[in-house]
Amino acid sequence: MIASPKCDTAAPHLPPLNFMGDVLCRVSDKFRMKYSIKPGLYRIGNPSQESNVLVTANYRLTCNHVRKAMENRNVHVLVLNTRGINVWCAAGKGTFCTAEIVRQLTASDLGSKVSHRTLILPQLSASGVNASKLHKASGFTIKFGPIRASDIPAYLDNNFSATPDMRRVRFSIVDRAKLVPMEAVPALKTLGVFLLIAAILFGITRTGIIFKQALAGVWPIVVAGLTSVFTGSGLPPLLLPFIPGRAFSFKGFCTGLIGAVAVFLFLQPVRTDVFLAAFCLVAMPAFSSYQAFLFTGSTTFTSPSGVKAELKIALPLYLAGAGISLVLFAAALYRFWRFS
Amino acid sequence: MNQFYLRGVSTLKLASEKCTGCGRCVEVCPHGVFDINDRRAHIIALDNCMECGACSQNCAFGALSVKSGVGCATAMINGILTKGDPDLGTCDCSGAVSSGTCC
Repeated sequence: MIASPKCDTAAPHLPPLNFMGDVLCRVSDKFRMKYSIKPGLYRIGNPSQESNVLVTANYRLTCNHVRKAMENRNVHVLVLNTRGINVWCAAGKGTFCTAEIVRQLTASDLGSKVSHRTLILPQLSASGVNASKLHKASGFTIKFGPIRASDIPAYLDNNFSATPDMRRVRFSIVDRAKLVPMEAVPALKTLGVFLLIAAILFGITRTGIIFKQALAGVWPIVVAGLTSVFTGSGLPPLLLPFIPGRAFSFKGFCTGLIGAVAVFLFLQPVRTDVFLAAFCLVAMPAFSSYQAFLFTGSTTFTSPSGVKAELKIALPLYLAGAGISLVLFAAALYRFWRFS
Repeated sequence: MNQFYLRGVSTLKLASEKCTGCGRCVEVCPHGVFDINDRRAHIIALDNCMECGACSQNCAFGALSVKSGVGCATAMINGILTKGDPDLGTCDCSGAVSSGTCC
């Protein structure tokens, strides 16, 4: 008997690598939020019924990591709808979860496509997935694989065993450097709005807003602001283990204070105007500290209890700092108007 | 890694009498907080804990508890500004459609 040709029901290939996309998603928030693939069952190579099933998030960068690691291998990939968010964040926020896995298992009818009942999940999804609940709900057994996609081949070849090193999250200087643009861009946007308003205020004269005067008044503050973004969003991620203190707000304060002292020493207009000098010495460490504090959301080791403890002390100080800065700014502005 | 956060803040608790020593916590913990010794789990590095909740979520015997969440200042500040509670905030990582959790 000749078997009737089976119609091609193979799942689509996981999309090809996209280097430009992988870079852009580190720079543009808008791009990043849309850098996703359609959830569902995919494949890498030509998996059979016995092939392993990897489960992952539908953030394209995540999928690309999996694809890169599994080049030349045959594997099923079940992509969950995490709304374009990476595995760990999605697990933490509840979209990479037991119910979503059950949903995608049903939608893809995976049970009829593989002969085994094992799913391999990234270790970092464990904060969102309850392995025993999933087993009860779907009949599938979960194995928590390694943290990094690049370790999956070794994990598979080692009979599903991960070394302690594969189970520890890292945060190397390279990992941290990749995060700097996403820290700096929002800070620069906020700074831009402030500088624009400041420039207009400095430019006001009886005969209208004079560009030359605006520039003369605002340029030291432009330098001070850019220095703060460097000391708040650039240095803390890059030099994280070397900056004193455990609290991120303190680390950012330290780097910011150094920046403020540097601006005071090197900028003549700041050194000679007591209000402008005081403004820089208050506002720069505060702004820098605030940016460093926000970096807690991007690290691999900060706890919510810790962030809350920092917040309790830092938030009143930020509010006070912002208030004092505004008063000092107004004083510096007034003096500029009078003497120019 | 030599990167540490604040000491003495983690809410992680282990009820040793419920532990069967299955080792799931060691498997899922990304910071090497646990070790299995004498067929029981032990917390060997409490200050490494980032309260991600992976262990308590997957302890089949209810031996672990932790007030889990994401240590993200942006989300907490947003929570205070919009809802007056740091625990109710969201950030970019919550997904384009923030309709809460699904579990």
